[in-house]
Amino acid sequence: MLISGGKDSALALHHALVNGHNVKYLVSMVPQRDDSWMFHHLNIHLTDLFAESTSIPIVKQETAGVREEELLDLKTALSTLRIEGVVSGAVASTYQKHRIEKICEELGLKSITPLWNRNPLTLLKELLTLKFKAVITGVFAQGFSRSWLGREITSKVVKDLLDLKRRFQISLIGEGGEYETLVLDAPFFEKKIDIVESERFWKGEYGYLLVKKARLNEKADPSASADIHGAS
Amino acid sequence: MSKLKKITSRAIKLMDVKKNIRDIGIIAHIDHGKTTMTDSLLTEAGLLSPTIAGRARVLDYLEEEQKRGITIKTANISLLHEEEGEEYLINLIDTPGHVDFTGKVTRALRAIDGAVVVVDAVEEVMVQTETVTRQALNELVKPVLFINKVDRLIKELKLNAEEIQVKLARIIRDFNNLIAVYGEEDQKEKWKVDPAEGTVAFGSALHRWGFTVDIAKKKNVKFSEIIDLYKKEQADGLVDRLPLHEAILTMVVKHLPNPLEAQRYRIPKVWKGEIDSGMGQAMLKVDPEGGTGMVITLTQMDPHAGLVATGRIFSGSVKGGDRVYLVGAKKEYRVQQVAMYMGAFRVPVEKIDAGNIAALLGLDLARAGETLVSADHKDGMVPFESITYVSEPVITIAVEPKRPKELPRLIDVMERLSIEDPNLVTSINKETGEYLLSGMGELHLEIAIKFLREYAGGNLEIITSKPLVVYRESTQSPGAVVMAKSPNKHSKFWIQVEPLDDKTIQMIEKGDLAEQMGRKRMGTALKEAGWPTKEARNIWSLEEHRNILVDMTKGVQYLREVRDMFIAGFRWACQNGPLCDEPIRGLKVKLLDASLHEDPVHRGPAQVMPAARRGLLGSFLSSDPVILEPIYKIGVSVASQWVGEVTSLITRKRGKITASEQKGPLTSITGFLPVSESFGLSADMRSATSGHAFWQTAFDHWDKAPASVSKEVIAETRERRGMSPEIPRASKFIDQT
Ligand SMILES: Nc1nc2c(ncn2[C@@H]2O[C@H](COP(=O)(O)OP(=O)(O)OP(=O)(O)O)[C@@H](O)[C@H]2O)c(=O)[nH]1
Ligand SMILES: [Mg+2]
Repeated sequence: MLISGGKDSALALHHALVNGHNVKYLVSMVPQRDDSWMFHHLNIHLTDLFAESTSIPIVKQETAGVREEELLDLKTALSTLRIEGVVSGAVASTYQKHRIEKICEELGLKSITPLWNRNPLTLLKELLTLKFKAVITGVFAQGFSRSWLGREITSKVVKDLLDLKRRFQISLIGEGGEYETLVLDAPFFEKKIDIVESERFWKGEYGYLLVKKARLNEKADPSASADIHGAS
Repeated sequence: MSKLKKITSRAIKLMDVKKNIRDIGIIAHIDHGKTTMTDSLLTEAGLLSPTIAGRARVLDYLEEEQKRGITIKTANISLLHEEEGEEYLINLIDTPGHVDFTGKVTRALRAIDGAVVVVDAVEEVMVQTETVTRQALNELVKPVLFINKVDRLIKELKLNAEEIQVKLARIIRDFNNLIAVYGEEDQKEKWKVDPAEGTVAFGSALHRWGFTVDIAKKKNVKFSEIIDLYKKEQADGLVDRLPLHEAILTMVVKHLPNPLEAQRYRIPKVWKGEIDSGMGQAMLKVDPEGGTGMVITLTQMDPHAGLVATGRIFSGSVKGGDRVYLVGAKKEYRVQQVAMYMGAFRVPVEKIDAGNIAALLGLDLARAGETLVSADHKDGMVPFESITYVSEPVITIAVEPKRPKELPRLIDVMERLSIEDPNLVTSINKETGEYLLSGMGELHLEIAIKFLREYAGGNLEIITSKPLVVYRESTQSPGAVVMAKSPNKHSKFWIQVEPLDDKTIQMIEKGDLAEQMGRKRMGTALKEAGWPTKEARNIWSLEEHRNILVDMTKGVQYLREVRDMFIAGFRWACQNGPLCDEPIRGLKVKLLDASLHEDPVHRGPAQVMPAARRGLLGSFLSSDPVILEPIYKIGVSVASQWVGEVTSLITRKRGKITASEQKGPLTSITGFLPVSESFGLSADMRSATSGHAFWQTAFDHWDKAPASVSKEVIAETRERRGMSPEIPRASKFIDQT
């Protein structure tokens, strides 16, 4: 299972588990550049907590983040594992899907994309009904502003995203890199992630929320939650 | 009203006889007597009692016009005239002379084929005479000349016959000079006016007499005799011997073209479609049986009837229920009603034929300049050339309702007003939530506010700011080649800006270069203007503030797919410059190279637009950006003893005198004056000349503001808009590797 810590890969993982797939590893690519063509980079360090809270072992692979080389790095990572298939969270980006399919083909693996071609709005609603807790950690498109950083995906946020889609034709689920999320809680999490310290960076047209410190807490424990809006 | 009905039903019968139709306008400098003269023309038609003609100014039917004594809108009326046993239909448009309303003249010119240019014999050819004549010539509207207010030469200036001759000759010479300078190649000789040929009339609109040389000969009247009659206070009888309407209408019928003659040369000028096509031939020949081709030149919102769109039908005909298509709005409609304007009244008629002016109801998206075609001819219909204005809205005021809850109402009437008056620009200042109204001058805005109140039913209280000048941001040297990334960092663009050359800017202002010409024709025009082929052929966009986007890339993958998004980003950047949020003007923006993410999902508008804007602004800031200020052309007519005062006043206000010419007892001074220095000019001029100066200003051009001025403008504007005091650095918009 390829994960970034974001909502799409988390939702894909959820479907994979529900469909009875035996998810053996979480694979996380760690790009060294900020403009990777394939992989998320923000707060990628938090995939450790993600893995810990799901009790699935994580395999991390560094990648230079340079176009086609990224794929070689991914292939290297996958080729060392004893698996039958690869689950990914691709929804509409044929670019991403084709690349992964190609590698799978070369390695004799099955490519599983539970979210492929599904309606983005339905996917967002599904996140809400399944009580995923995902916060926006980066915005990279026209129409977004600083105040988006740190917002939890709620029905209000979905409405605001719909508005931006109408005005600027962004992808509703951010598949064009318009925004990135970090999943703090999911149905399959044994513990939830709490952000202890974070900092917002705003660069004029884009910005991101860097999580500096986070930890796992019992799901029922309300005392440990920190106000992420307060930090900047 | 019954008289109007009678005339309209007669007019409709005449519409078939194209050679007996004249579509004309009355154009002039302010106050030279257009509306007064038109009064006389109405008397012959029985539309106005002779006893009040000359004073009624019937076509100034708006309350505001009667109160101020000036025309502020165009008014249409149709008249019948008999000449040598034949009946003629004359569709006439009276136009305003005040420079703030020049745009209305510009639009009216598209609808007519000929114009009577009125010149006040005392003031002679003035700034606005030149402006409207130049525009008429540019639209291939043929002018004839009426020299008005001759009574004043006799009674006020007390000139003798010889002196009057000299003055009249000078007016004719000056007028012919305009034709020589501004006339198109084919017309500059042919259209010169000459009293001997009957293309000049002389008279007094106030006293309702006038003549051409021909008429004077026939009736055996000499100038010296007229002078004598005035001296003996016996001029009253002149109106019967030399009725003004006869002189004017004879001149119109004999020397202004009918639609058959005019459309033959006007259509190729105003319509660049294929002349040999069905529509082309129909319009060229004024064919009532062909497809309908019409240009909308005026739109008004009637509180009851909705939008009324008036314009000239070049081919076919329009009747109620017809299916028509608006090329610009891309929308098909059924015409609800067809009407003719008779002054203040709109008279419904069954059908109007090619070669005439019609008012149509039911086309709510029609705007001035729009091309209307019958629905079955809409495929491939090329729109008419765009109407280009000589003036730009350079003065702005902020408006807000006194009671905040009336904001929606204010917005509503502002919208109505901006539909009716395309030269009035309404906009919302996003930062401050201010509603802005930009216009040609102080009068334009004053009237606009009056209309806003009136449209709202009189009880909308509006607070206005003091007038502000509109500025532009531009550059004088090329900027750096800049790389800008999309927010998601996946796409990169290399962009460079440089100043657009004056020649190209002039082509745009003259309408010789317009986006609707299409890439090919723009390319040809630019190549002729000396552009390198590679640049000329690859114009992506021509923005309203005279900015051009050129694609200079070679074989960039997927570029075609992001083209429109890039253009949108380019336009966005040009709207709000980085110096103080004023529009950018006169920039050539070159897209040199690009690298794009191959997945369309990653290169949507939200990625490409900001990148285009960043690159443009980055390169612009790295050049040497400047503030441009609007400059008025000023014309002052003043008794010679005050010339010194006027000259020093203008120079003191950072103005420049370009010419000063003695014309009889008056001296006419022309020069330039920054718009920002023109506020309060009335008071200063009055005190400098004890109220003896007549003067007028008209927007002329943009000029680089002196450093001290531009510093102040930037600081003030940024503060007003709630922006941080410092201009952003170029580096803010430039990405590394
Ligand atoms: N003495 C004299 N005054 C005239 C004559 N014709 C017009 N006037 C006066 O000049 C003033 C302006 O006349 P209008 O007919 O309103 O002029 P206009 O050209 O229509 O003015 P705008 O439409 O505002 O540009 C009025 O006071 C008229 O009475 C004339 O032949 N002799
Ligand atoms: Mg008038």
